Amino acid sequence: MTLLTAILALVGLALIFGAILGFASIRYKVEGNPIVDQIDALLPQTQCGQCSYPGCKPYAEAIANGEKINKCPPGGESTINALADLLGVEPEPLDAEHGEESVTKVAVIREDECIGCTKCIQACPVDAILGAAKQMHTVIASECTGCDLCVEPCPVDCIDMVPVAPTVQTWSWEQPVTPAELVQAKNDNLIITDKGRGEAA
Amino acid sequence: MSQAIKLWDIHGGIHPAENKEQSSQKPIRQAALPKKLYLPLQQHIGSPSELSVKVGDHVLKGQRIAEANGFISASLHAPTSGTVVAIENRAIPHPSGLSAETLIIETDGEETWCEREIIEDYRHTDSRVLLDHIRNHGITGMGGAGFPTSVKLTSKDDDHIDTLIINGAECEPYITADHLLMRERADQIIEGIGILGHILKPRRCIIGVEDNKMDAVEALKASVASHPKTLPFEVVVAAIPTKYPSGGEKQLIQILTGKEVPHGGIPADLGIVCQNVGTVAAVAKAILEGEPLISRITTVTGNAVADKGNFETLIGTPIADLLYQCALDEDDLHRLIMGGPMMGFALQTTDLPVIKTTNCILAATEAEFPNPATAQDCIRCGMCAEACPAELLPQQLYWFSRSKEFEKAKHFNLFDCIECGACSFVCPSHIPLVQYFRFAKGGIRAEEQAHIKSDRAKMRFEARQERLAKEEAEKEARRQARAEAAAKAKAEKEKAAAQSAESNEDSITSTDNAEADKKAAIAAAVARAKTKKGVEASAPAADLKALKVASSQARAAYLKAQRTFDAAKEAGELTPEQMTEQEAEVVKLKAAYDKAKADMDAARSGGSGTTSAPSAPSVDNGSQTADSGPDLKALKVASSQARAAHLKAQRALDAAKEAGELSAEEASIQEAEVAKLLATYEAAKKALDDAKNGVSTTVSNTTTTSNTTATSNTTAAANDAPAVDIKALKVASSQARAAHLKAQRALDAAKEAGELSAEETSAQEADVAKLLAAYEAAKKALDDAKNGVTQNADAANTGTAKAAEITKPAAETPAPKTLDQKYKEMKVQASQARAAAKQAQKAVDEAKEANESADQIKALEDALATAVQNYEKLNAKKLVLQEKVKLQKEAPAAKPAVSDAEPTKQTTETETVDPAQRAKELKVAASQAKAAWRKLERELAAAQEAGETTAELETKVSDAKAKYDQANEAKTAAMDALKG
Amino acid sequence: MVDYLLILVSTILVNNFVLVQFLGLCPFMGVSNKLETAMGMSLATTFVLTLSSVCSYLTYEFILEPLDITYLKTISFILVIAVVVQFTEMFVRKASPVLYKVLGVFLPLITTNCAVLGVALLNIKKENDFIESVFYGFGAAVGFSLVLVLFAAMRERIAVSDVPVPFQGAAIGMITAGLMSLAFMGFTGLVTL
Repeated sequence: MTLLTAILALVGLALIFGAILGFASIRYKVEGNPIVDQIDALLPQTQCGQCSYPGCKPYAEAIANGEKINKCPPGGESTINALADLLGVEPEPLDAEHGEESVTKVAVIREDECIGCTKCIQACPVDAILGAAKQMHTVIASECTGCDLCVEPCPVDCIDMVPVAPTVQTWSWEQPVTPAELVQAKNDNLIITDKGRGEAA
Repeated sequence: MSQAIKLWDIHGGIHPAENKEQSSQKPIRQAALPKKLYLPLQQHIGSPSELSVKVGDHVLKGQRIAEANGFISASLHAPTSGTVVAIENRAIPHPSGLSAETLIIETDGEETWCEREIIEDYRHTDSRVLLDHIRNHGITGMGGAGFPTSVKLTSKDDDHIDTLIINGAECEPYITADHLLMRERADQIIEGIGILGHILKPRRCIIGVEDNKMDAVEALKASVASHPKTLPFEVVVAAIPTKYPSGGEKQLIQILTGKEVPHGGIPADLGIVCQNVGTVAAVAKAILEGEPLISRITTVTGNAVADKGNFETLIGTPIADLLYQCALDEDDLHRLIMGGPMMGFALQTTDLPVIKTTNCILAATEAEFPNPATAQDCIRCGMCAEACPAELLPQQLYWFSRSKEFEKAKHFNLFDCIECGACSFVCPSHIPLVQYFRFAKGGIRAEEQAHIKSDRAKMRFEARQERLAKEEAEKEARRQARAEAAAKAKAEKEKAAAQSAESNEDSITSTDNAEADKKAAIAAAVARAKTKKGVEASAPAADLKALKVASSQARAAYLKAQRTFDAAKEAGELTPEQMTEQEAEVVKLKAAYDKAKADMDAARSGGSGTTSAPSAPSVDNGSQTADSGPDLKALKVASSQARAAHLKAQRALDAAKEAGELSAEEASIQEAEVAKLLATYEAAKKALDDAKNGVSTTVSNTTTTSNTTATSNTTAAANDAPAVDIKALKVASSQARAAHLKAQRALDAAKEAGELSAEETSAQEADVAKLLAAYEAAKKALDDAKNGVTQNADAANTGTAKAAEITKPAAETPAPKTLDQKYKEMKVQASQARAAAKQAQKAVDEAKEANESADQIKALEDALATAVQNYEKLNAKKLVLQEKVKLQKEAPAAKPAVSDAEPTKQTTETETVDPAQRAKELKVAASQAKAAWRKLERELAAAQEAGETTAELETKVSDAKAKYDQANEAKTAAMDALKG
Repeated sequence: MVDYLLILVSTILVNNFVLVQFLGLCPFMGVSNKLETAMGMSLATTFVLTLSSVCSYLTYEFILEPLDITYLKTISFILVIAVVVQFTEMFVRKASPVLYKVLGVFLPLITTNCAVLGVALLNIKKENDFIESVFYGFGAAVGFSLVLVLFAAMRERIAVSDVPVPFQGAAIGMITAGLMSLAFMGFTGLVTL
């Protein structure tokens, strides 16, 4: 009898709770997943497809559904960190399978070699290439995201990915070497001042 | 007029050794005129100026040489008269040591002034005119940052300026430029204050001068007293306690008014404008003397120079010149700094010019400026926070900057840091705090830029997606509309066809003149394909593989036939009148056709012993396949291929219909053509039925037959009626080609279908066979293309046409553009050959993916290599031909045109071709050759990485290289010729 | 009234659930990397802990005891806590997206916070009445929040400091937690309950 009571009580409790949750899930249903937009805002929008998704938005959706956050080489470490912050997970190192972080690049067409095939124009995800059939094409450097997608289709191999050189406007100071790094650099000295002392002696 | 005012104190601050007396002893001297002046186009904050002179121009002193570009920008003026000798990228005085566009003026020593604009009576001039004047005279802040002065003086309507603060604090050690200016040219400063006062209409003006420059304070006070008319408002000269950095704009405002500039705000928000004394003097010069900002007072000091002092220096004077005047001891020079020791930056070389913001050149010895001590760990002593004039927490900012926690650094008001260096100065661990802050600021700015860019990229990407979707939808709508129209038309045509069905049966083998040549070509191609097929099909082992090989080869043959057809079409296009010549050609082609037919028959009898009617080749082939052991898979493949053929035929019919629509006038002729096409279509359908009945078929045969027949019929229709416009022909041809492509795709699909049904053991074998077939097809196409080129080349060379050659009509067409067209053809062929090579490559890749055995892959790779080689050969031939054409062009242009001699004709033709055009083509060829070579090289590298044998590839690479060189030579020659 | 105050002082300082009773250590170590998230977690925990304390008291008082099946208290409390957490999450998500954004990911984590179950069970053990249960739960949550926020603030600073290599990461966190625990032990004897 006590056993039966116990079972009944527990089942009853479970049923009541189940009903409450069931009600709540209908009553408080929320449409959409706002997190996707937030993730999308953090991605670099190169639309390069290196993450194996056809653009940044699809990857953002995939992340929202549990995809790893370390598949974006153009964004690199800073993007991974930002995503980790947003999602409250541990940042991971960049997945080398999808490419390595490199300096910002911009596509440049060697214009005297261009035959005007328009293939690169079709490949460009951000319409940053200008030109018409049988006419020379050129890249709008300020709009180019450096995604590489135009290099492959070119039949005469006339597109180069050129690293963006710093100009006086974009240049910024470098990070000074920290004491810890100094120690690492001369790891035969446990204390930085050891070296100075040695020389003095 | 002036009296003492209440002063406030700022937080923190330091008292470094002043070291000002060394350079303040002597009066301001005029620096010698250098031989050359170097004027970077950006000496201010904002966008670089825009050049308004060019190399070789003679400029006068004060002449504007670069315009302000945008609101926050400043113009640039020639500091003296001379000639612009160069405009190039040169290192500029900037912490980065980067280069920027610099204008170089060779001085002529005459100092000839341009016409000056002087506003004497500024009090009765509108302030906007004055601001424009200041802007046009390139005045920027002389204190250090170089912010365009006119921008700073342009007040918005709502913030009324209450106080004008003139910054004469000059708190940084070593620098005495402002000190001497105030001491010697106080009147000029007061005049400037009068002008600024007229523009801004402030209630009062405070001149803040540190109390270590009391002589300057006295001079200013005397000047203020002697200019009561200039200053219709209260002017106070305030001697403030000496403390670094009281000369910072925000700090000086706080000291003089007790107000703090809010975070993210500007002084104008408080009703305050702050200007440096140097700037004020420059404004006075610009307004009253019409002299733009072409010189400034620069302090040259430091123990490495013997003669320290201040110099009125022309902008653009090389620092080396200035130092030479001050007797620089180069051996003693340890660090060269522009600006002061606290906020200046080190220069790598003396080969840099003085710019508008250069207030000091500090040539320090090692004893004076030893190398900074090694930074040690932060001991959290908090001295930096005590010294910080902006009341920040440098230590915390240091941790965040170091670990790149930029968000948090921003949260701790990093951007309120004025980078004065007080924290670094007091740090007992010698941590270069300011450098960390500069780094963090740069990092934050870069992130912001990246974010802006990514937003824009996202916008563009989404706009593109939208556009593509719209285009797709429109295309779909058009397709549907067309399909409906076609269905309607088809119903009508079918009615007509039913009436004349019987006569149409003959149309396929019709000996109609215009059709015959095309048909001959097609038949020859079919026959050739069949010969091979017959041979292979007779082999006992040959089943599906043989069938597929044969089909691909037949397709290749079709490709060739189509090319031939194109050539014929072009011929027809250009010489519609010369029917007699055409007729002769047709007779020749007929002979070729007969021969081909004979070959075909022979091949058939040799292959399977089955006699066949020429009108039903597909059935014949089908029975062969059936004989050689038909399995389910083969049948399936065949049937889907047949369906593809059927679809294709239908499409060809539609195309023909459209052609018919275009030439609606000649309804009768078109109707006949349509009927023929219908017959072709029905033949294809019949073939399909046969296949379905289990007789099986080699589809590509059907495909080629029906398709090419349809195509040629279409063309023939146009040919028959010369009045029918070229447009119709073109439409027909392109549609035919589209049909062909579709058929190819259908074939691929059929192949896939075959693959799917083969989960059994033979699956892999079939795959390999398929890939091999694909390759062989590619090779075949390539060979054909090559042949075509050779023939074309021969034709072009000799001008004597061989009757049997299919390209004959094209070669002999005496239209003015023939040669040019030949190039185009060759180009097409070359690209097709390349496509074939690509296909072969794909086959290899697929094989690799399918984990084929090494032998098979090897075989495929060899095949690929051959294909690539063939392509290269073809390309080379093309180049050779181009070279020849070029030579012909170079032959005397005056050579009389003889109407009956072909070569002469061609010469004439070539002459009409634009040499620039040829050069361009050669260039294209060269780049293609280069691309091929590079590709091979990459392959080689890949092979080497994979540890494969590379000897073969290496030779190929060198071949390709040679070819590229050849092409390049041709190109260069062409270019030279063009130039010559 | 004094009793209630004493309960608060006791649960927040003297018998702090994390540092003295060592309950709820997982979120204490897990979500203390960033101050922001630690605050979110604190808020969510305070909310859920108080609510579940009440709910489990009611369940015990009106279901388990009358039916004389108090030996089922552990499993029923787990049920109660799970439901409270789930329901809270759904409700907050709908009612206040902003709050959901702050608490969002932490709410489900609370289910596994042993401090929550600990409070429910201790309520029974200490034979607290309804009001006492509420205060006990609330005090425990405030104590948890206090140390979590303190700890997170410290860890944030530690993260950017020069920590000797062997101590980097979790090690220095553990040491810090240990030192904090020692400090909280100092409250022993302040209040006896």
